[in-house]
This record gives sequence, structure tokens and C-alpha cells, in this order.
Amino acid sequence: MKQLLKKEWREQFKVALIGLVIFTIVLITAVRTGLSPLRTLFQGYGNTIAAAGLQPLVSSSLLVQSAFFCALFGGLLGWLQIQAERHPDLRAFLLHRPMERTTILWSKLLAGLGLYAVGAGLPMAGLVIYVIIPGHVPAPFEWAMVLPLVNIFLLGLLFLVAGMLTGARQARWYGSRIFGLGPAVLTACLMFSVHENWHALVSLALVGALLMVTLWSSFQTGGTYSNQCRSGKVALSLTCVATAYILSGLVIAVLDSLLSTNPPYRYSNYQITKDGQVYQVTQGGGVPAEITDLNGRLLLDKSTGKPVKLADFNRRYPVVFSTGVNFKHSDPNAEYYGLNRNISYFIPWRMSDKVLWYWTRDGRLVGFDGITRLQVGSLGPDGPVVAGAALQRRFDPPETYYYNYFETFNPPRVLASGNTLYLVDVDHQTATPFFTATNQDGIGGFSVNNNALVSEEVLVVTREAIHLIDTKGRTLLSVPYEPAVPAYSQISVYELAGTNYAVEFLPDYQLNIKLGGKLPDQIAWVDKNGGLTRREKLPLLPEYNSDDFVNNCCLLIVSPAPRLGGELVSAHHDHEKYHFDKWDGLSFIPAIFSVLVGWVWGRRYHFTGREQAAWAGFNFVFGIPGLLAFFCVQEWPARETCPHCRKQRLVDREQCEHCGGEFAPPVRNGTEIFESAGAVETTPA
Amino acid sequence: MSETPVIQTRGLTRYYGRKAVVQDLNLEVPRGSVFAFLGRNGSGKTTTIRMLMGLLAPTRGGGSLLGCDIRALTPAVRARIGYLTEEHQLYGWMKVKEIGEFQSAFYPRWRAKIFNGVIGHFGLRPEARVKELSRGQRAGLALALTLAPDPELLILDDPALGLDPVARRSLVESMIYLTRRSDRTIFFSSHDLGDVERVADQIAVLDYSVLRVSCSLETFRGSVQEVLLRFAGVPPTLPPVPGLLQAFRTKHELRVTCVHYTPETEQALRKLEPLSLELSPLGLEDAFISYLGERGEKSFILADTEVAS
Repeated sequence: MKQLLKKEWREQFKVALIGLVIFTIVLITAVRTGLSPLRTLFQGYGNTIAAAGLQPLVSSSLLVQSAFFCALFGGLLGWLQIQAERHPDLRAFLLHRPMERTTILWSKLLAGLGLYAVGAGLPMAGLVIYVIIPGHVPAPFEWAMVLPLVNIFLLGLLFLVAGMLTGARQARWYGSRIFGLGPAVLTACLMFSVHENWHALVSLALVGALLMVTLWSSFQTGGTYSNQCRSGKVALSLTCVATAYILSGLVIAVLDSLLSTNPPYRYSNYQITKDGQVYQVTQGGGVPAEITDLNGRLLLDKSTGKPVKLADFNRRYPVVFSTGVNFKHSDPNAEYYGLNRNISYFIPWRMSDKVLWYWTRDGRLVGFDGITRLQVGSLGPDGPVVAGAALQRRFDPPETYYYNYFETFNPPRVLASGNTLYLVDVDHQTATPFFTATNQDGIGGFSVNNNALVSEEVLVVTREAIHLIDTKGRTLLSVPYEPAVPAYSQISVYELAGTNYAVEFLPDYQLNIKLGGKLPDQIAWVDKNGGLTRREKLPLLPEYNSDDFVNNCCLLIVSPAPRLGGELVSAHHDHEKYHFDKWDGLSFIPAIFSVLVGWVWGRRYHFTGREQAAWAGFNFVFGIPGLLAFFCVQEWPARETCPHCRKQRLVDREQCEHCGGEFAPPVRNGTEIFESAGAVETTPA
Repeated sequence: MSETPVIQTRGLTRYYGRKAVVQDLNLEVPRGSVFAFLGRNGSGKTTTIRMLMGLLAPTRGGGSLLGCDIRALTPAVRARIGYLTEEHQLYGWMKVKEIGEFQSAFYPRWRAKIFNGVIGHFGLRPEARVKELSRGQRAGLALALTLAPDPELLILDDPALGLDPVARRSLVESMIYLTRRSDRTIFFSSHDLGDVERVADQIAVLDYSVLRVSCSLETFRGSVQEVLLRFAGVPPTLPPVPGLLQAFRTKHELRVTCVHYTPETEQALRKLEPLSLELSPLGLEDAFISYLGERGEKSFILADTEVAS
């Protein structure tokens, strides 16, 4: 085995070195690209900087580039390892030795792992070392940030195995050799959509096991299907069906885009102006925005008599405070975000005198000098925190957690911790409480005015009331939170002319979808003393209706099992009851069609009862993609006329399936010369 | 010789698509024999050997090598078999010395003396890279790698293919050297009948995927005979002759090659009333070419052209 390992290393070491150089360049470029806006900003250009690029380990662009590289490199390396012996004689030279094929395969895999580690692992390790040395990256670091990179490394290994499988597998159609790559591609897509690291690891492990069994079994038999063991056949079928699903998805997307008759996408929302009037604004679809009052009349410009343009209408906007309401944010143990984005670990909060302040997920603010890239401060609700010390109280995530940028203008100053709001001074590293919710109430959301230069006001929403306060803790407005959460979880307060206010209650997006969009927007007008002057439920806004018919027709390609499975999981996730609709019923048609075609084809090739049943189940579960996999994995032997019963029989059976007769020996022509005992006996001509 | 055949096949068949490249092959190769496996290009020799080596799955039928099923050759059995492939494909980037070291690690019975002896015989420098070797030198290296494990059974797939006469002579000498060990069996395919004549004691012939001959060299030579019939005028049309392989017609002669020349054959030919009938022996090459050539009556290739002009 040592010699085989050595051989593989010598053969593919150049590929690993080329990979090493390319990936190093990719990573250096990605790191420099992520950090370069900081330099530009400090030179006086621009006023925002994306935080995602400041910590390369969680930069989505770097992770995507790494994933692309690892997938390509791993797949290519694996394929080349098998292709090195593509000539049948060289393959014979490798395989004909006193060694199990399993050991030969293990040698290839272990060598591949080592070579892959050189090409992909070393640059990754270099990146991690670069990041953890202080002074290189002006952003927080924790070891969990390395996990996405580890997942990507493992993903490349998956592609290594898939690449080997592509090289090792014999295929009826040349294009179907690539069917080994499907599960790896699906896993790559999955890795960037799951929110928990263990989800990614489990999918990597499961798909890795599937591909390993498929590769092992294919390598044993020289890539043919018929001689494989049962587990190998099952694994190969599942591997191929995964690719068939990807191809089906592409077909569906193409058909949908070609056949769809969807109208241009337009959407509507309500907008309150400084005078307290409500207008409906409809925009999108490449046509000018339409602004109408609640009676549907176009808003006209008094001077020109023409419809008001959106740009002009925007000047009528009042000062507004908006916040989403979510009381779970007050729970210090809550899991806030998925692991695949930087906001899982930190959120850019404020830039002050070239110091970047981040909220980190342990509930503190951490500052990094943008020039030296060294950590310069750490602050909790109770004041400065020594590095590594545990916090008594934590800051909740900033209200701008969805906004992944540092801004030089309008720097935020307020953070919440439990039921208290703090005015945070990062320059002096102090946190001063200025509002505390009473009576066991909590803070569901708060918002500092979108133009802090002209206002010191803060919107804060508790379970009981909506308050507008200033940073000295004085209440400017307080109205009951009615309608309340969970139905209405988006609150906006508009400062109207004459120190009046309008409070807008928007329904919770997810809940409203579940209720069929029945919840109306509500607006309450209040005077400067908090007295309710008017309350109105606004008419439901028109919904964009897509052409579901074409989409559903295209989706029929997918069999009922994944379709219903997906819907059941979705319903369970949303705590809803699942409703079986007509499209679910129609999705059985292609599944039954696949079963019938598979059954007829199986009869033609004289499958056993067990084989027929297994393929029928497979085709029913996976539908048309399953049928495609069925045709791809099976070998279809030639058929000949049986000399006994004159029916078509398969050439790979010893006896005729119809009459049990054996194959006739080759016809004698009278020139045969046989001497040895076991020589052929041919039929006289 | 032992009773158990070293190679045995029963109904071995292989299809590529709808085409049968090996049909119902029943073959027995006795221990200690030098067995030549002959046939024209594309007759199925290499496919048969790959099936025997477990590198290609038979469509139906099966066989055994050293008593082990060809579908499941164990490492222990493989250690007893030396296999030389048709094109002598080796790792081009390795040096001669390196590839020897590489191969020796797998075989406990590796004989460095044999390896060095064979590469010396072919004039190979241990420091030379395989990709820099000529075809003949590569064949020599491949042979050295095949022989050094001291195998009990040697399977050589057209070992002399593409070699110049000097390299071929070296190869044949090596094979003759090997036959000194009485329990060693050599099974080789070849197109070079001179080599076959020198070393083989048994032959098998595949004719368009079907085994037509399996016998000793002497039997084959004795079974294929040429008869020269002389006529006063134009030779008459040939009637059906048992075992007829080929017949060539000239102005006053008919040259007939047939298998199994029996009194019935002679009787059928005498009915043509020739002036004379002469039996003449055939060399192996002529016998083989006649055997594998197109059946039936022929004129010389350019005869028709001459007539036309």
C-alpha cells in the first residue's frame, strides 16, 4: 500500500501544487477585496463599508469562492486519479497484483486526501493562521467561525469521491457518467442554506457514506452495475436519482421561464404624508409608480395637474421611527441566527474615529482600530469588560441587525439589555441606562430616529405600550400597543405636522401569509397628548398573482413523494394542518407512468419478481427522475432469437427465459481441429 | 503434467452491444504447456484474456485460473500469475529501477536476479525513464516485471506486438528460457507464427469469435494440407469438398487447401479428372493463413485486373 500511495503522490503532486497556488491566490484576492473598502473609506471616499468582508472566515463571497474551488479541485483530482489508468492495459497493470481491490481503492483515496489537503487544506490553514494573529483582521474572531471553512474542506472531499466515481463508472450513455456528481452538488447547495453547522455535517456524512459505497462497489466490478452487490446497486441508484433530480429541476426552470405568462411584478404599500393623509403607492414592473388616495384617485400635482412623481412624493414624507417587534430578543440564551453568515457571530454597530465597533453574540461591544487592526476596547451594559471575562448582563442584538454595514453618518448610540435601554458612549466606554420597562414588561423592539442629527428621540415598544422617548428618558408619546403582537409585529410612528403623530401597525408577515393575507394594515392618529383622534383599518392591498398553472404543470415532473414530503415538513414547521390539493393528486400521474414504463421494460428484460417490485417502488417514489436513473444504472443486454422457442431471449442468461433451452454452440463448418478433452463441440453444419 | 487444467473455460461468452466477440469458448490449458492462442485481429483473443484475468466480466459462461473462479481471483492466486498486456503500458514517469522497486513490494517471491537479468538482456539502463524507452525496450521491461515474481502461470497478450526482429528474438529466448521449469504454464497470444512454431506445443485458434482449433502444433500442421491438381485445359468448377479451406485457380492448375484430408476428400477431387494430384506439406504460417483466410475458391488478387486490362 505504501508503494501505491507513493505512486499516486508522484502522479498527481503537480495537480496538488497547481491547486495550492491557485487557491492561495483566490484566498489572498478575496481577503484583500474584503478589506480594501476600509482603506478606501479612511482615505475619504465613500461612507459605508460592508462588515462581511472584514472577517474573511465568515465572508460569504470568500466562502462561495472557496466552495467553488474545493468542489472543482476535489472533483478534478479524483477524476484524474482514476483517469491516470484509463488505458485498459495500464488499468490491468494496476489491478493485477496480489492485493484486494478494496486496498487499491483505499490507497487512491488516502493519497487523494493527502493531495487534496496540500492543494486546499494548506491555503485554508494559512488563512486561519493569518486571521488569528492580531493585527491582520479588524473584526472579532472565535473558533466556531472556522467551521464553515471546515465544511467546505469536507465538501471538496465529497467531490473527490464523486470525481473518482465519475472516472470509475461505466455508463451506457457517456453523459450519464457525470451522474456520480449529483449528490455532491446537492450537498453544496444544502450547505449554504442550512442554519446549523451540525445539519451541514450530517448531510456531508450521509452523502459521503452514499458516495463511498457507490465508488467502492463500482471499483470492485470495473464500473459495471450488474455484478455489484446489493448495497452497491442501491447506492448507485440513489446517487443517480439525485443527479436526475438536478436535471429535472433545470428542465422545470427552463420550461417555467419559457411557458410562464406571469405579468410584470408590481407591489403596493401605504404611505403617510406629513399632513397625515394615507396614500397607496404602487410601483415596479418597469413602469412609473402610481400614487392614489384611499378612494383610488390619482394624486395630482396642483401646479401642473399631472400625476405626482414618486421622487416628488418622497419629499412629503414625515420623520418616521420603525421597528420590528420580537420579544425573544430579550432572551439571552436565544439562538439568533444561522451559522453561515457573519451576523451569527457579530453585527457591525458603529464606526467612531476609525474604530469599528461590533456587537458580538456573547452580548458585548468590541472595538477594533481600523488602521492597526488591533482590538482596542470591549464594553458591556455594566461598562468596560476585560477580554475573556464573563458578562453579568448582555446587550441584545442591535436594532439594525439586518443591516450589515458600518456607516460614517447617523452612528447608532442605543442598545437594549433585557428590559433596559442604554445610551452607549464608545469613546468613553460607558453605557448609561435611560429607559426601563416596568411591571415585568420587556422590550420587543426599539428604533432611533433615521436622522439622529436632528432628533434625540427613540421609539421603544414594550408588550403594553408604544413609547416615543428622548435619550434623557422623557416620554414624548405613549399609546397602548393595540392591536398587539403576535398579529401586528411591525410598528412605525410618524411625526406629523402640528406635533401630532400617526402610529402604523403592520401585520406579522408570516402569520398574515398563514391567514391568507386577511390582516389589514391599521393606523391610529394621536395628538401630542397621546389622545386617540382616529383609527382606521386600511383596505387590503392587491396581491401579485403569479401564473401558478404553468408552474404546477412543470412541477408535475417531480414525483409525489418529494413533493408531499416537502409540503408536510413545511406544514409541520409552520404548525399548520396539511391540505391535500388537486396538484398533489395530479402528481401521482407521472409517478404511475414511471412505474408502468419501468414495469414494461423490466418484463422485456425478464427481471425477477423481487427486482420488478424494487424498481416499481423506486420509480413510484422518485417518479420521472427515478425512471431516468433506472435507465441509466441498468445495463441492457442484447437479445437474440432462441433457436428452440423462436422468442427473443437475453444473451446474458445461461438458459432461455421462455423455454429453458440452452444456447446452441457455434455452428460447425467442418474445419474444426480438436484434440484436447475439453475442446468445443460445435453443431454440425 | 498434472490432470487439472491450469486454465479452463466453460461456455465463456462476451458481447459488446449486440456483437458477440467471444462465443461459447470451451478451453483447457494443461499444466506445463506452452499454449499459443491464435486468431486474426478482432477475433476475441484480448477480450478472452481480459476475461480470464477477471478484468472484464463475461456476458455468460465462466472459467477458472489455477482452480479459482475468474470472477473472483484472490490475491494469492494473482500472485501466482504473471500477466503481460498487449501494449506494455507502464507508468511513463517512473524510472526502470523505480518501477522494479514498485512492483517488488507486492510480490513476496520477487526475484531481483531475474528482473535485472531481463532488463540487462534488453539493454535497459536502470536510470532511464519508462517514457523514454523504445517500444521494444518497454516490452522487455514489461516482461521483466512479469517474470520477476516467478509466476506459475504466464499469460502474455501478444508480447511481440510491434517489436523489431532483435527485440522479438530476445523475447522468444526469454520464453524458451522459462519453459525449462516443467510446471510452468505459458499461455500467449501472437500473430508471429515463427515464434509460435519455436516455442508452442499446443495451439488454439479463434476464428471470428469462435474456437475452431485446439490441439498440438503437430496435429494442426498435419491436419491442414495442400493438394495441387493439374489439368490439360481450364480446371473445372470445384464440387463441395469436405474440409475445404481455400482453392486457387490458375490456367491449368487448381491449388486446394483443406483440413482433414481423407479418402473421401481425395475421391471428391479425383472426380474432377485431373492429370495429376499432388499432396504437399504446408508450413505453419501457410497453414494458419489458409485456415484463417476467406473460405472458398479464389483467384490471385490481381488476376481479375489483368483479365480486365
